[in-house]
Amino acid sequence: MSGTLRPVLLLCALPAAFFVAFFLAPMAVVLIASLTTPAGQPTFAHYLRILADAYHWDVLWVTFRIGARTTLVCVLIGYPLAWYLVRIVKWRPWRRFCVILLVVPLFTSNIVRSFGWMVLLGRNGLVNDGLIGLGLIERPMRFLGTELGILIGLVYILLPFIVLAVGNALAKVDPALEDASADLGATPAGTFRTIIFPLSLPGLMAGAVMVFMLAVSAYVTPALLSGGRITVFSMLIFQQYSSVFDFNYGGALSITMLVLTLALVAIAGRLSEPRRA
Amino acid sequence: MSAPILAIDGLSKHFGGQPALTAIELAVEQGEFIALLGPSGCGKTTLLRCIAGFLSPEAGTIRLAGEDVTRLPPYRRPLNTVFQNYALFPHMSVADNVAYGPCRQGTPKGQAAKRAAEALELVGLAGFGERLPAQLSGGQQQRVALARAIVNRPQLLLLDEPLSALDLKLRKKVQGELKQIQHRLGIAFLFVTHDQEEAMTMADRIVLMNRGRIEQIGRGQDIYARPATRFAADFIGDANLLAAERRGDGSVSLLDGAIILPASDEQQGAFTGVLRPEDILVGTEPAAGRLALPAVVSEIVHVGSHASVALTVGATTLTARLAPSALAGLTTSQPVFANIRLADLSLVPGDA
Repeated sequence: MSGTLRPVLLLCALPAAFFVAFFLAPMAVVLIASLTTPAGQPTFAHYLRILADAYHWDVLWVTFRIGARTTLVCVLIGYPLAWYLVRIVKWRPWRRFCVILLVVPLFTSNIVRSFGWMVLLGRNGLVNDGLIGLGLIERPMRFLGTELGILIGLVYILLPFIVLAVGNALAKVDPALEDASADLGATPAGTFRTIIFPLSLPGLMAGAVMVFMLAVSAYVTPALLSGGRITVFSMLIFQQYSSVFDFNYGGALSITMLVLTLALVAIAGRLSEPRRA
Repeated sequence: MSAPILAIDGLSKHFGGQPALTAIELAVEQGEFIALLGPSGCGKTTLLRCIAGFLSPEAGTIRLAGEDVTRLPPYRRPLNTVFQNYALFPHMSVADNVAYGPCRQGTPKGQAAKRAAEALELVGLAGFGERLPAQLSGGQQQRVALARAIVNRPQLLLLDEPLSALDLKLRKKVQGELKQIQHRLGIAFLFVTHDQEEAMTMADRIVLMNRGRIEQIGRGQDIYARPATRFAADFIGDANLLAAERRGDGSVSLLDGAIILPASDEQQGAFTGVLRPEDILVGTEPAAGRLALPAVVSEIVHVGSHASVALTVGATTLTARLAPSALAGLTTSQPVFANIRLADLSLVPGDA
């Protein structure tokens, strides 16, 4: 081995070791556990049990439904918000302030923020008081223990991810492209449809995938806002690990969740693949 | 002659109180090749963006083929632009880029594709339609930008320093091609450049700009021969700028009285004498029919095709341009004569 190659290899080895230790090894442990009995014999029994159990399918359906809706609402709110920050705000201090406002909640604990929403969404919480005060509803609505409540909490927590991803993509679109489009006769709406939106799509997809993954794997927010009435998949996994102590079955649940999520993300990615001539 | 394709009247534009364009007057005839020439920051690109509709002027009107378009958005103006860095749509194929204009104007897809193919053929890129812009060289991208801008057959094409990103050799080649295409299509070109040589070789007329104003409009050789302002004299070609003084009897003295021009009423206020370096004959003897100014050679710089000779005349330094053959025997510190013709000397307003 030459003298110059050794330090390079050492430098590469460090991140590789980190990756193996913190990403590959835990995944391998979970995967192996899911394919073995507590005694260590290889088995598919855990997966068969999941597949055969209608309750699991129900929970999966609820989990992915909440994830999909969270993603949709985040996209619908996040894209215009990112547009506002990148395209409309011209005064830099205000833009900076808005971005800080968006990011600062990420520094606080999920638990604190979810508890906050518990208070706000309660029977006598600010949201119900406000809606009654405005005359929109007569009796308090039930948010806690409904999918709507979980949705509100998840959207609040995950919105920054999509705004940052889309904002980054929008900021990278060369303004000269908009000029060129207008010059060639496209109205502002036409320019958005044919130029800006397609160019921001990779950012939007990245943000949406991130939000979806975080939403379907979220535990704290659904757990606190469900009031015990709704179960999402991460709660099932948590039960297996914390109460039942069945690491093998819990592992199988984790892997099932992972595979389904990745499959959905892959399908979504394939569908949104930009048309290539 | 028919109405000008572009007529600009009293156009002014400010950026935060700073004037960027002041009282611009310009008329472009059909099929003309006009160069907007000036140093960076002179307002040439601002003027182009006003014409294209990306900036709205505070005062003045812009007419295209007789129609007032001053308040129209860019997408309603019947002209097209070749952008400085081409601004090709990176997510579309070359063919889709070129077909973008016809498609936006409601041309059916098949017909738009056909016209795009024709435009690509015109710029010598037939068969490149399937590629993405990123897969093309800079020169090819530049042609795609041109094809995209001419596919709608506008009567006026704006070009914003379209060749500045190309290397020198390619630039020369594309200059010729651009001129050919312009000739074939009969479209008026308004071409922004800071390169005076490019403007001289390509344009029918040059619009020389400085500090948001038009200094002079005219054919390149006319501006060179008869600059209207000190700036025009200095920017187009090389010039010796000589401080001029009006004397009591109305005559004009240059080079501390070495040159006296007869009285004229045309020039008022301060002005400057302009003498082109190639109009100075350097020799050890006074030349017949010329005014011989005693001078000392202070420096000789060889530039290949010619030599640049610095001459000290009194307190002033003149630069003369000599053919290498005329240099024989010339050395620094040598006393010589700078032989000039008064007819070659022009006076322009402004201080030297």
